[in-house]
Amino acid sequence: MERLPLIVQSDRTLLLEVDNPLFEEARDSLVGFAELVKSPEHVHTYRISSLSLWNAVASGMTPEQMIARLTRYSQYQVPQEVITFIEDQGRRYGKLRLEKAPDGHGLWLTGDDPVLLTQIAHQKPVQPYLGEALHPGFRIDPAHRGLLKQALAKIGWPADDRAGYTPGLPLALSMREYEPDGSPFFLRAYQNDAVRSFWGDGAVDRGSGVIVLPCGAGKTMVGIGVIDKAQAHTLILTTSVASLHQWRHELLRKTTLQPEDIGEYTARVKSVSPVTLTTYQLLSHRQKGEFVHFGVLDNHDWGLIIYDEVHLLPAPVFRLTASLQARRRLGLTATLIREDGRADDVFSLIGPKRFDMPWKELEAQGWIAEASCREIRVRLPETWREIYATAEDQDRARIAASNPAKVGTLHALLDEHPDDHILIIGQYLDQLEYIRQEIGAPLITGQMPTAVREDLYQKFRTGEVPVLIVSKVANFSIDLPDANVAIQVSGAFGSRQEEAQRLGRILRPKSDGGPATFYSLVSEDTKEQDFAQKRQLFLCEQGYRYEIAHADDTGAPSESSPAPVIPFPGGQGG
Amino acid sequence: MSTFSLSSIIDRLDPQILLQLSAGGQKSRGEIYQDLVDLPRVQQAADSLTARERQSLLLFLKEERPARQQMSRLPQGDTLMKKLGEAYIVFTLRDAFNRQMIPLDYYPALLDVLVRPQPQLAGPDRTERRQPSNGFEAILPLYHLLSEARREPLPQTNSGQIYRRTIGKLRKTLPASVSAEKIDSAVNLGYYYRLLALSADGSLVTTMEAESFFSHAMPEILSRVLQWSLERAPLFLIFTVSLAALLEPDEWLDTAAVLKWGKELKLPGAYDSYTLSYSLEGLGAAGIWETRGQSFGRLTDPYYYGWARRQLVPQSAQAVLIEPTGDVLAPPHTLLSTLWDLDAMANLVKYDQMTVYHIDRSSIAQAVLGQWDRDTCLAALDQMSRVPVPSNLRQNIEDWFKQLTRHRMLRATILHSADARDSAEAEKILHEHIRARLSPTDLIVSHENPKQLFKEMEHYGVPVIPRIEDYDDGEWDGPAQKSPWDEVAPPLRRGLAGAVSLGSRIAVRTRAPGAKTATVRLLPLRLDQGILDGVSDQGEAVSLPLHDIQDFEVER
Repeated sequence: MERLPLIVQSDRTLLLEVDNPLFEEARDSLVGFAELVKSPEHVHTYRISSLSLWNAVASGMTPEQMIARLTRYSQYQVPQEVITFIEDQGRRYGKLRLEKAPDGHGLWLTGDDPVLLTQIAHQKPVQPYLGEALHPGFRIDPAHRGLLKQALAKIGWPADDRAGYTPGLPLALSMREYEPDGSPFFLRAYQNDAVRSFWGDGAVDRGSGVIVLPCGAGKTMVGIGVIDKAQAHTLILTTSVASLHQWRHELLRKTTLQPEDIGEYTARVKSVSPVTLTTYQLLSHRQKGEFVHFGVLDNHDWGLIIYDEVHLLPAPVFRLTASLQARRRLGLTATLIREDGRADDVFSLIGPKRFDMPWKELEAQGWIAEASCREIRVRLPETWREIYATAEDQDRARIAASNPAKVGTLHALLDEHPDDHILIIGQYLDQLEYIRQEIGAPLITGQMPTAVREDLYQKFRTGEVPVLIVSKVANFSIDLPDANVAIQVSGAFGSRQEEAQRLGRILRPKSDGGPATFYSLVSEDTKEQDFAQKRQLFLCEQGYRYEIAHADDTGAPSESSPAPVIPFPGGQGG
Repeated sequence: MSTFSLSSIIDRLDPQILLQLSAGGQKSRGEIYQDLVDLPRVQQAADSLTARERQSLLLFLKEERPARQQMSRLPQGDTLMKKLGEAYIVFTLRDAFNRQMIPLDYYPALLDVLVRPQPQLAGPDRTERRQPSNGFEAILPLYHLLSEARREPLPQTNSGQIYRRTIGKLRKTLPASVSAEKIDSAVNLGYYYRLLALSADGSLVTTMEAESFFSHAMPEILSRVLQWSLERAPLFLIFTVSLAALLEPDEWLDTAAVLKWGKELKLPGAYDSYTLSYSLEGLGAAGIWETRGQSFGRLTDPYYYGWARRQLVPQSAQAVLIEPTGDVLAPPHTLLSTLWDLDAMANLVKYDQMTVYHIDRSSIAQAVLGQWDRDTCLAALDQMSRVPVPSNLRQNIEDWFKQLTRHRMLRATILHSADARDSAEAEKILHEHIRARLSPTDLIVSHENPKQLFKEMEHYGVPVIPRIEDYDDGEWDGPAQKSPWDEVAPPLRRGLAGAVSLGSRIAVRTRAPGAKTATVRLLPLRLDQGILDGVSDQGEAVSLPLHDIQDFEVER
């Protein structure tokens, strides 16, 4: 009997076996109504949620079609509770509609079921946003649009938002066919798919949401594709000035926009233009309790707002975003993981995930570099072990991370990669400074002026500087296409997204098509080893494998053997 | 024990017969079971009997089991005995007073042949069953209970029941359909097969028997559960269950019609619908029976497909998928014994169609406690996995085993001396009882016979107070640990001790914290652990903390 690739769990997770002839067919079939959760080596996990079902219904799929797809590929009978859930949630979408009020004053929450409208009116989370009765339904203040939708989704009755978006001031632009250096430019198939998933046919059912693509897969190009669709004034929020400059550079190279069309709104320059670039830091800056810059930017008639690295969106910007529901919103990220657990707010306020693609699939298609990950467990020198053992809890992470034996390992790795472009990435500035002195490579930190930083990045790109030491300033949005080796010497505790972002620094396809190697140096038998496990989780879930090796307390390779026990004072331990 | 499953009977067979059934060692125990339980074979054997032999066999089956006479005494008994014995339908169990037994598993096939005319079994309604599964859901409460009791002993109330909060905790991991009654039922089942035992402190712990229990194929396990649930049941209930096994998958047994038929045949236990419902409720709590309204019922899916039809999803030893993340996915066709092994070294994430486990350091710590070593653990994972164990996980497991076995908490008896010279002297005196030297002033001594140590020290003229004290941070450098006595002023202490030994009646003035001073008159009986116990003038037992006692007077 044909072995089918899918197992439907009663908690609505779908387990899809990769090593099955029907894998691809089943995967394509699930994409429309289930969200990809993780894609490790053997079994990919999808999840059916209310949100994924509402999105599917919004795009025209029926609950019956979804159930039929599950049944077609499921090895075992689809649990009845899953069928019931799909039927129940599938029929909820569209029962409530958010439209422009018939009298032209504000918005109107309406529906065909008067009992449902009465039921909604008695729901405490929704009540604050309901205005006067406007039969059948309620008048809604446009300022409450985002909050109302959030509240309705939370009580399980999503609103079909047909009130539309502010078109924004028009902006005529097109994508170039050739870049200034003569190389052809076009969106790759998956980038086009992402743009299409976000934009749809331009109707109100799309136009807000998040695109998830690995670092190096060209999220900026997707952003440019969406700007091209919108043909409207656009505000782009980025994580740093360096990243802002990269956006500007790409917009000028790949679109017909002229320098005067692109404004920079930073601490140094404050120009608002048809396409304006700013940073989260500036937007959330307060003076006397007021978000002064937000006020200035919000007064402009934007047709599209792009949130780059949306997983880093600061909390104040979330609140501000709730009032921006009339504008189209695009979030871009490689990892929709928020260490503060606010991923749900990204869904509610920016929009649902519109597009996601397994990293390994892009790797197989050659769009990102083939990468191998290695963890090297470096033993702490004896004196450091004693310091570590007697240190206060809060100091241990730093002591473990700063293990001097890592420098020995670094030397060995640099010898192994004589012709490569190597990034050494770390968390602690004193550790990085020590490494700089030991290996003589330049160091980039946040304290360095932007111009100097960009100069060093440029030298690294050209190969003039083959090894660059960087602090966390280089975690995001820095385009270093030829970097093919990254050595992480320390990191922020168990941050999964940081690990993924750092790997992302070397994922851009290499000009010679060569592979990338990511090393993570951790101190053996310390908290850092535990943190490393957590950090690696996201990448393992994306199908990356970590090879593990050991180094002794000089940093030289050794057999697997945990460090010796600290002798018991006066005893015979050891 | 008066009802036997085929599985239990195989365990008790004479070695010679077992050897014969295994075709001289060619067949495994599982295969022997498969051969014997083959229902067409049983039906064929019953069909080959003469009409009188069949009547005798039915008579044998219909007798109340405790009073059941030997088959040979029935009409045509000898030939019947010979034929059924040769066909392995009837077994003579030497460790059960040479009683002749027909396994429970054969009843449906035998009744199908012997009962003529058959009653109208099926009711008018039909309900489609789910597709055959692996049957795991039927034993999930037992499996989970044993898994938890293997990790941590489950405390019990004074009346020998698991605490409700423990049951609540167990249920959180189980599907909502698993009621508290099902867990209670699983505890009884666990006791019955000695899968659970009481620890020294009265908590429930899983025994090594569990490993052997789960090594059987699912139909055998279900058959054993049935044996347990029907052991003390009236014969009519066994017939009812057996007749339900003959239904089509979507049919319901008309229990009212079966009861009427049972009464006509005067089957033991065929009394009234109330008694039948009560018995069937018990089977329901064990997950064997489901009801529809007042008069209809049937075997649940696992028992219908697993015990009656043997149509469960075929199991495989190499079924699980191990991800580099440490997640281990066990599909429904995973052998139960594999799952039980996995459970020893991985933490459960959830039971579902695909049971999900996760391997991490804490799960390996459990494995270490369960006496698993690194190589056995990795070999077991290699054996159960459909894909190679990811190298990072393999390396992690190796490192975790090393880390977790580097340090151990040991309980030891230490002879602490005032200085190094004294300690060296004690070492010479007790040399054969010394396990190790811990520090210049501390020796680890044998703990088996402390009295002997005290005696030897005294014999050499180095007396030691004959008491082993608990370690206390503040007292390590001091000569002895504080006792509750130390809190009481010496004159008061000595006076109370004297009153106890002389049996003098006393008047004690006490003042408990936050209370007024009170006087208690009593006959002191015992001073122990900082408490004065006695009997008051009113004849009531009195216990007074010594530190509450201000003073006392001996009454004349």
